[in-house]
Amino acid sequence: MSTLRLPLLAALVLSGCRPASMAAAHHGERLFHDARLSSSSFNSYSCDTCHTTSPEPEAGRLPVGGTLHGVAFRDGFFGGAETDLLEAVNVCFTRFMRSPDPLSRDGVQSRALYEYLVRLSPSREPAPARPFTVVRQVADMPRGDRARGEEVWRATCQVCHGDAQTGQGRIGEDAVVVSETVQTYPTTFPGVAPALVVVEKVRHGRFFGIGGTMPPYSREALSDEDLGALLTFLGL
Amino acid sequence: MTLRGATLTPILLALLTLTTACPRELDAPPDLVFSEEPAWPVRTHLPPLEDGVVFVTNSMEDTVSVFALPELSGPAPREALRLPLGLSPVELEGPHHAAVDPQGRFFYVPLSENVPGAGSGPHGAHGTGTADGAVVKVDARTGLRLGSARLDRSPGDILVSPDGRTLYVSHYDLRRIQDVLHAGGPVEDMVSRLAVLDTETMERRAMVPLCPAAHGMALSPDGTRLYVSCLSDEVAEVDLTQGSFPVRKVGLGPGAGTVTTQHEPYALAVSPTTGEVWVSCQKGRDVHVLTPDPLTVDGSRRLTVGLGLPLFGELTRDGSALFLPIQAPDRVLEVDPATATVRRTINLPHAACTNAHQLRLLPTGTDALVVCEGDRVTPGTLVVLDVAAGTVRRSVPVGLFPDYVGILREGTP
Repeated sequence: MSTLRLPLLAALVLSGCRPASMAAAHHGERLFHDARLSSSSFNSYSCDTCHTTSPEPEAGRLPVGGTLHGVAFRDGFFGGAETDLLEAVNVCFTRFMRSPDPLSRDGVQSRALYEYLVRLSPSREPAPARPFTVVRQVADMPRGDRARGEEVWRATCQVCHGDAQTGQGRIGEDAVVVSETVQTYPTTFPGVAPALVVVEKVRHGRFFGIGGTMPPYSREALSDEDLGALLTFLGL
Repeated sequence: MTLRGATLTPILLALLTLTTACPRELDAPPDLVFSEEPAWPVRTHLPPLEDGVVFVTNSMEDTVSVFALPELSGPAPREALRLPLGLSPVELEGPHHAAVDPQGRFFYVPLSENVPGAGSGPHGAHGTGTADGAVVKVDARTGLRLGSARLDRSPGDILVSPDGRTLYVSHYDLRRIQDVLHAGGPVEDMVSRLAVLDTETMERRAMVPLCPAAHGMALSPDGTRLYVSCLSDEVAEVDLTQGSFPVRKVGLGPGAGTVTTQHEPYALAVSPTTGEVWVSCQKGRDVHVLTPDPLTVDGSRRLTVGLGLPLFGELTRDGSALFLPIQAPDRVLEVDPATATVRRTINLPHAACTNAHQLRLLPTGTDALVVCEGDRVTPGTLVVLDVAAGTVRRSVPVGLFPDYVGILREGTP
C-alpha cells in the first residue's frame, strides 16, 4: 500500500465516526441517558434513572421524577415550587447527580439537553406544573399486599438499589443494600421502628437534613398504599 | 518494512485514529444544529420596575407575593404573581424580611430555616431554627436566583447599604440563648453575629459579634452607623466606617446586657431628619427614643403602648410623624416625634388585618402599606391605608404568615 493512501484512509475513518452535522436534540437525547453528563466521578445517575419521557405511564415503572413529556412548556416544576426549567434541572444535576457546577444557560451540552426536552414537548402551549406533594410529617402507615410490594420495589427502588436482599444489579456502590442498611436502624435510631425510618427516607430523600443523593417520593409518585405494600415486601 | 507490515500499518494507524479522534459519545459533535433560540428561556417576569413593584415575603410558604404598584391604587388590586423563593423546592425555608437594592435591580431575602411544622421524622423536627440560615439574591425583573450565601442560624433582619454594595444581616437566635441557659453558660456565649456581605460576590466580608438575639436594623441617615435591636435590653451601634466594625451598646434599663429583661427591643426606625432611633420593644410594650452622636437614651421621651406589640414602623420623609403598627389589637399609631405622644390611632378592622407586622409609607406620602401576618394558618393580608383619612382603602390576601413589604423601583434609591 502506498504511503499516499494513508491520509485518505484516515480521512475515511474520521468521516465515518462523526456526521457532518447533527440535530442538537439528538445529542441531548444521548446526554439524557448518560451519567457522564455530571462530571462527578461519584455519580451513577442519568436523567432517565428518575424520569420517563412518554405521555402515558410506562409498564413496570413508577419513576420518582415522573415523566418529562411536555416539560419544556410547563409553568412550574416540583409542584410549582420552582418556576425556571433550568433551575429545576440543576436541582437534579447538583443535588442528585452531584455535579460540582450547575448547567449554564448557554453551554453546548446544556443547550442540547434543552432541545431534547423541547422535542419531548410537542405542544408549545403553557401547561401547569405537575402536582408534587411533599409528605413533610412522616408517620407509619397500614401495611399492604406483599406481592404488590414486590412490584413496587421493581418499579421504584430496584433501578438504584438492585436486589432488595443482596443489592445485586444496583446502580453503584453508593446505593445501599437495603436489607443490610435496615438492620442497622435499631442501633442508629434506637426506639424508632425501622419502618418509620424507611418511610422517612422514601418521602424525604436527601432533604430534611438526611443527606445522600436519593430523590424524595412525592405522594403522586408513590401512594401511601403502595408504600405500605413496599414495607410488607421488606418485612417491616 | 515487509509487505505484510506495510499492509497492516495503515490499518493500525486507522484504528488508532478512530480511537483517538472519534469523540466519546458524551462529547458534543462539532456541527450541532440548534433550533431553539434562546435556550432555557426565562418565562417569569415581574411587573415593570419603572412603575414600581411591591413585594411581600410569605414566610410560611416560601413565596413572595408581587404587585404592580399602580395596581394597589385601583379598585380591586390583584396579585401579579406568587413567586417561589428559596434554595430547595422540597423544604420550607422561611423567607423572613427582605432588602431592596437602591437601584431596584435586585432584592435579597434571608431564609430563616425556622418554620414551625415544616417537617418531622426520625432524623428530627425541621424548621426549628437548628439549621444554618442563608440569604438569596434575586433578580428584580425575572425572579431568578442570582446567588446565595450561608449565614448563622435564624437570620432576623436585613439591610443594604445606600451604595448597594454591602448587605447586613442580623440573627435572632433564640435557640442559642436557650442552649446556653440550659448549659449554665455566660451571656457572652449567647451573642449572635452580624453578617456583612459583598452583594456582588455574595461572600461574607465579616461576622461581627453583636448581642443576644439581635433583630431589627436601621441605618443612620448618612449610612455610617448601623443600629440593631438586641433582646438584651440594648441597642447596638456599629461603626460602618471602620473595617473592624466596632460595636458600642447602649442599654435601655437595669437588665441591659443580660437576658433578664424588661423591654426586649425587636424593631427599629430611624428619623431621616434628626437621626433619632425609635426602638419598639416586645416585652415592655413600649417605644424608646435614642438620640445620635453619641447614641444616648432620651429618658424624657418614651411611648407606652399598653395593649399590643409595637412593631416595624416608619417616619415620614420630613420627620414630622412616626407611623407605628401595633399588633393585637391591630392598629396604627401616628406618633409626634417631638414628644413621643400619640396624635391619632387608626384602627385596623379584624377582617382587614390580623397581626399587623410592618408599615411602609408609599412615595406619595398619602398612603401606606401594612403587612398583616394573619393567623398563620390562613393567608395574611396587605392593607392599603389612607394615612390622611385614617381609613383602610383595601385589604388584599397574600400568602401564609407575611412579614415584610418592600417596594422595588428602577433607579430610585
